Amino acid sequence: MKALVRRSDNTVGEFFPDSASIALEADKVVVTQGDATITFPDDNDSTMSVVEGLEQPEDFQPHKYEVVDGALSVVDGWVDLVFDVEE
Amino acid sequence: MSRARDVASNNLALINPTSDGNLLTASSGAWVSQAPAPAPPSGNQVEMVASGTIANGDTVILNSDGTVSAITGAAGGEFSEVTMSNNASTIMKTKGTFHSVENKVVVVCQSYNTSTANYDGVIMAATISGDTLTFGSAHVFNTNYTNDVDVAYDVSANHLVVIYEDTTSQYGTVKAFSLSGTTFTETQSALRINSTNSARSVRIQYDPDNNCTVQFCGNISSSNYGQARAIVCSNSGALTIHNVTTFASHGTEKIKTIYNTTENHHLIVYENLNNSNYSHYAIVNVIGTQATTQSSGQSIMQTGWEQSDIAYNPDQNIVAFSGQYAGNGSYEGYIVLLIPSGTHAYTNTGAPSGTANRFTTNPPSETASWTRMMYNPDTQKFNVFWYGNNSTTIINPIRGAQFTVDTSTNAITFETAITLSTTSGVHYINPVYDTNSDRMFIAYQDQTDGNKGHAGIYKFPSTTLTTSNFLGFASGSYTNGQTATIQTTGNVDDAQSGLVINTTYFVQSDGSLGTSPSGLANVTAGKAIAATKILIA
Repeated sequence: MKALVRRSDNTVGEFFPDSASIALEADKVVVTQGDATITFPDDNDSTMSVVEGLEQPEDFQPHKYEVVDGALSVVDGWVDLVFDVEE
Repeated sequence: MSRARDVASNNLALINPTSDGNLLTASSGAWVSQAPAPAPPSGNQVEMVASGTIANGDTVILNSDGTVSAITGAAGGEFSEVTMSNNASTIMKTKGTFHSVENKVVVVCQSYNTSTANYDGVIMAATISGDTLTFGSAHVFNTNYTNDVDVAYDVSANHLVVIYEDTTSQYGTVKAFSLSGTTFTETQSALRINSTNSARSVRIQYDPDNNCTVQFCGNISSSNYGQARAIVCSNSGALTIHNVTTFASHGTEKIKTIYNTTENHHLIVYENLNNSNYSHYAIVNVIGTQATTQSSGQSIMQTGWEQSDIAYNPDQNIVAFSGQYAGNGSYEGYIVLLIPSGTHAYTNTGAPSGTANRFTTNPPSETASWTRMMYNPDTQKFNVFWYGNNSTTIINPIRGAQFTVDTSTNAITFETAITLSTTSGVHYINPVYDTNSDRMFIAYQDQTDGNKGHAGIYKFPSTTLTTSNFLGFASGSYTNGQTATIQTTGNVDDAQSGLVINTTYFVQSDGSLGTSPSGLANVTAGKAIAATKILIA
């Protein structure tokens, strides 16, 4: 899969299939998957990078894993996020 | 035969009791027969001008202009209940808004896709014509796992803005759509509102003073802090997300919002994850295109208050906050009022004490789940809906009650809670008021039908009768503008039928008589003294 990685801490924000196209632009990041487009207006080629050839861990959460030497490891001191169990 | 003198002519008059009862008067040396003057009616009565048609024996009210009218009313309940268009699916977390150009109720929801075993994001439009409800085709706007959803109609741009939590990582995301008839066209593809951070309790609301929408959420990736951003929609339906403001520096969830059109700000009510889930509020307004926190993280009450919602009454500039009160262990439904106080602040009527602000029935004690509120601008009444359960006669149908507020005392007057749906076993109820057809739409998950999405039109019973305007019974039939004789207290009306002697009767909402009070106005009509006669109370 392709990983969208935050440069400031080298953590994976989101995984996309290998078929996705990820364009890092000066004022945004644009991901295209078939007919679907996802734009990240807060990000750009200075804030994000793309790492290919990674597999998404089953317990993945945004920014839980950092990329170290091309492999994934859990961030030191990470506490799992609690997702929505509400209404 | 008896003898009398005609006062007007000074002639002698003879009354012939064995014939037709007419008078025989002496006139020019001959006896002339003439009908006697009508006898004055007996008992208490008044003569008033009729407004509209009144039938003999009708119950009658005194109008504020001094005319009288027959009592009219309409039954409440469920009308045109239908299965929503994606009828094979489990529906959850329905939200909605009214599109005032196309005159459609627009619904978004999380919809289970049996082919992919995934929860899609779906949007659809409903048309209300009179008491008939129909749906257009469902438009799937997200085929990833879709968690919470919400929708707002940007009136200035004439586009719909949808916010949703995308994938199981709950990335906050917005899209925009145009609507023509019941057909949606995506005008803005997915925009992440906050990079690769996760969001909870996403909400979006139109800001009529700044011609934009404002999104609210808890930022899961940042300790669930409450955050808001203005989102500007162009006339072509392209979205621009502006800078974030943090309205709560503690964990937020179960966010509910209203826009206060008098104070020109967004009121956000939520549960504080870092303070026992107690209810808090914050205020955000938009300056230019920048969402700006004006009041951050204020406590409303330090007690258990769940399943809540808020609604705004612009006619009185007050907010009603509904909830299931866990603080006293009853889980019954109560209302707390939030009253603007100073600049960008609210006072409130506090945790319920006693039962004055309770909208559910007791005994037996009825719990209120998933309370949802609307303000009806036509009746100028708050509407609160919930699914109720008293373990005996009420087992999770849609329930509803209307209420008004006396702002001089903050006293709430509730009309009797009623069961609105024919289905018992609902969840995720979501009301939307259609200001074109003046109908209340409610979508819900029907747990008696495979958790499919259902929706209907819901009405409260209505009547012209109040606790103070009942006058009496019509003693004849009258058309509009005629002088009507109305029998009043202490008189006997003899134009009834089927009454049971010695039974007290009450005036019903439609003007008929019944043996228990109307749910809308407790007015005693009188006591039956014959099957056709009632002694007016």
